[in-house]
Formats: sequence, C-alpha cells, structure tokens
Amino acid sequence: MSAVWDYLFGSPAFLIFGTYTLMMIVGLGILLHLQLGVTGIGNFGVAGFWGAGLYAFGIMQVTYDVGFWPALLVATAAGGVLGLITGWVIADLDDDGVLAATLAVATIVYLAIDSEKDITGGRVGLGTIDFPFDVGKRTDLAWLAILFGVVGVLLWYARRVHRSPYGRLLIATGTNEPLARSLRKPVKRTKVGVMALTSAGMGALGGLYGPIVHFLFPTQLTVAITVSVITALVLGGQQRPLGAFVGALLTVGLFDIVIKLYVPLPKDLLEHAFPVTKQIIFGALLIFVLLFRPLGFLGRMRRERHVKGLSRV
Amino acid sequence: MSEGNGRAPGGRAPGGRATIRISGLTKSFGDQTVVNIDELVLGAKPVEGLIGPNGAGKTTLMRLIMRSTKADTGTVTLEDGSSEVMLSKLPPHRIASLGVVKTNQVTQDFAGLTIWDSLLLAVAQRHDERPHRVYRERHVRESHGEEIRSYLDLFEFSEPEGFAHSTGEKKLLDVIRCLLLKPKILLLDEPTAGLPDDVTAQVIDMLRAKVAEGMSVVIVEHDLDVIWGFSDVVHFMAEGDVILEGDPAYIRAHSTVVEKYLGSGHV
Repeated sequence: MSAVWDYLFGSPAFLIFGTYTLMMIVGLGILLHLQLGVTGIGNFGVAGFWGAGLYAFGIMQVTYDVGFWPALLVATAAGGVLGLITGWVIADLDDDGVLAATLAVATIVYLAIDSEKDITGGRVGLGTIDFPFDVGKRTDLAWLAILFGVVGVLLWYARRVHRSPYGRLLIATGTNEPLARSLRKPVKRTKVGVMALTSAGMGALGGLYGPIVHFLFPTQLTVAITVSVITALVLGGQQRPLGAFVGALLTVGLFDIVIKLYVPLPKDLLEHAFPVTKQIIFGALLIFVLLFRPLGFLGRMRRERHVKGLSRV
Repeated sequence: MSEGNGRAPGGRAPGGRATIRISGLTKSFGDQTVVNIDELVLGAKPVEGLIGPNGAGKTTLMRLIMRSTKADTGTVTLEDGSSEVMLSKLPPHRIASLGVVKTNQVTQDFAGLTIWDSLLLAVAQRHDERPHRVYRERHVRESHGEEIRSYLDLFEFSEPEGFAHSTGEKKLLDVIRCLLLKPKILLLDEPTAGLPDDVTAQVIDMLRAKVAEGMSVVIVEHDLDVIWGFSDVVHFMAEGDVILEGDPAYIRAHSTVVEKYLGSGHV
C-alpha cells in the first residue's frame, strides 16, 4: 500500500504543479468554449488576456504592494477591459480577421510586458508573489483546491448558459448574425459583452496563477498557452461545456502528469525531446480530430435534449 | 408614378396604421442602379403586394428598408401616429424593435438551434438575455410557450422538438419567428416559395388573422395568385422604381404590367 502511495504521490510538488496547469487549461478552455464554441469568436489570443491578468496581479502585488483581493480585482478588470476593447474591434470582422486581431492583441501584450522594465520588470521578471495565506506544507494543496473550486464555478456557469436565454442569444449570434439582428438582437453588443465577460474570467485565472509560479516572466505568455487551450478544447469538443475538461485530460493530463510523472523515461529524453515531441503530437492530434471528428470527441451541442427537458417543465 | 383605383394618397394611412415613407432612395451595384425611388409610401393599406420582373429591385428595396443593405442616398422613415423615426439611421435590430420586421427570400435558419429554440429566441426580451440571468429559461418558456405551441399546432413539422429539416419547414419558421415579434409592418419576401399549395393557403390564412388584428403586410411573391387574392393594393416595380400602383384588378389588366411582366397570355 505504501509503495503504491509513494508511486502515485512520491513527487507531490510535481503532481500538484501538473494539476495546476491542468486546471488552468480547463478553466481557460471553458471560457474559450463560450467564445468559440458558443458565440463563434475564434480567439487566438488567449495568452494575452490571461497574461494581462497575470501581470496586472503581479504588478499590483509586487510593484504597488496591494493586497490579494484588490490585486485579483485589478487582474479581472485588466482582462475584462482588454476583452471589451478587443470585442469592439473584432465585432465586425470576419473569422480570419478575428483570428488575426486576437493574435495581435496577445502579441501586443507580450511585447509591452517584455519591453517595459520599470513596472513589469521586462525580461528580468517580476516577483516574488506569495500565496495569500500560509497553512504550512498544505498551502499549495489548499490553493489547488481553490483552483478546483474556481474551475467548478466556471463549468457550472457554462452549463447554465447553455440552458438560458442568454446562451440561445450567443448561439444565434455565432451561427447567423444577420438573422439574429432581424430578430431585434443587438449582435455587436452581444459579441463585445461576451468578449469582455470571458476575458475578465481569463484575467482572473491569470491572477490566480501568479502565486503558483511566484515569479513572472514574459516567456510565460507565449502562444504555447493558447495552442494548449485550443488543442484541448477542439479535441474534447468546442461546443460542449465539458469539452475542455476531456481535451485537457487527454493532452495535459496524459503528457504533463501521467507520462511525465509515472512513465520511467530517461531524464535527458524527458528534459529535451519530450516537450518538443509533445507539441508535435498535439499538432498531429489536432489535425486528426479536425479531419475525422471536427466537433471533437464529445461532438455537437444537444439542444434537442434541452428542449425536451423544457417541455416537461 | 400612376395611381390606380382605391389607392390612398401618400402620407399617413387612414385608420392610424404605421407606414414607411421612402424618399429619394437609391442603390447601385457597380454601374447598375438597382433601386431608384423618388417617393413611395408602404403600409397604408393592410396588405400591399410588390411585384415586378426579376431584377426589378424588390428584394433590394426590402433590404434597404431593413438596412441589411446600405442605401447610397435617400431616407426611409417610419410614421406611426404622431411619431416619425428615421429608419435609415438605425441599425437593423433597432428597426425590428420598432415593429418593422422582414422574412427572408433565401431560406435562413440558425444551425444548432432547434425549432423551439429558434422561436423562444424570437420572443425573449433583452432583460431575459443578460449574462447573469442564467435561470431565466423557465420564465420565458412559461410566458410564451402557449403562443409558440399555438403556431406549431397549425403546421405539421416532422420533428417539432428537434430541428427544422426541409426548406419548407425553415420557411415556415421564418414567418412564425417574425409574427412572434408582433410587428406593425411585416415585409414578406417570397414567404410561400417552395411550400405546397395547402400549406401556402394555411400561411395566408394565418397572415390574414394577424392583419385583422392590426398588422400591415408588404409582400413580394412570384405566386401571383397569392398577390391577387391577398393584396389590397399592388405596387409594380421595374428597373428599380415603382412605376404603377393600384388595386389588384387594375394592375393585373394594365398594359405595362402585361408587357413587362405577365405576358399577354396571363390576363
């Protein structure tokens, strides 16, 4: 029994960090699901909105010595305001334009943080950021529990959106804008609103990531985050609230937790070849899914189930 | 423009119906002028037909009214009682909110939304569709479920709780969605295209009932039996302009209409 425990939890720090990453990808994936899978906004700049929150939190904590809750509020606001502006800019663009513009936003955020030195610390980094509480050795575990709770709330909200008039408005906006407009629906406001709301969520997740890494670097905001989130969501099913969860388990869960921690790979291979191989496999998986199951493993939305449920109300 | 029998003069309609006044409206695509209307009032009579040969500009005119296509010049004004609203300065969703609603010539639907979804979307008010009101579905369903059911009971949908499959079902859905908005003026762009005769008759009966309740209809339709039997007045469009208007019998027999549109064998 003890041997099994040691095998499973022998490296709790690595396991917890891997689970942090998993939860972060799931959380971002749920928010991207509301943007892309429901409203049809292809946000290729997830790292930018998340990074704006992460750095806003870090700057508040380190540079201005602000407490945890106000800093988290600023992180949320930073993501939200960036989402609001981006939403307004992309509202009338076509799909290609939206992808390019959101990628540009992420690039701007990255370059601004990378080139600025006094406030963000530039390439030297920004830190240190501590957990807002200290319960000894269990602090990181408690933080993980909080992260589970936050992701749980996001999942609950996404599922509720699917069952609400708001969700129906988002789906209508995402599938046929002119028809939605002809039914009195303010399409532009809806798109700007959902971008602001979900980007605020991404900013908040960024803020919650700060204490995990303690020290912030611009390299944490590369496109790899966005690719991981998109891969997880597309793989699992972009139209389903649980899609990001299933996809993240198959990608981050399998590679960053199971293989990394439990498969006895040579250290050299693990440090050098593994990260590259992982990205190649992610890319291949993405192509495979897009070719043979474009709506991911969970498939399309099941609106008819919702309607039948309603008729029994 | 000539006026035939029974045509009310332009301006506010008798009986207080809302009307759409079009002034100096033009639209060109490249070198081709598609719409060029100096002055026109729509909605003065309960049901107004709009006919003309292909390319006359009927659909473009309707799209210009709804601002789904932007005009080059001119104004479109909604006159309702003592109020006047310049539609040509409003976004499409605001025009629909004011009670001017249009069905689509080309079949339109929301992929991913069921028939019920699509109709609930039409009736849901803005305050029901706020991001924080995630428990509002039951309220919307209870407020409008019976009304939706009454429309769905009129027609035979293959899967009422599922998706609209055929073009005919999508056409019907388009009309029902618009009626659920309780429009003052409903612009119908070939609403019965592709529908069987019996369903066409049902649609017209349904529209008559709504007209009796005060709604005005402007209808573009190539099934001329629908136009002659349903319209109180008919506008004949050719080359972007309304060149004739009058009661159906007058338009049907007019030599210009026969020459440019109907052909001599029709009368």
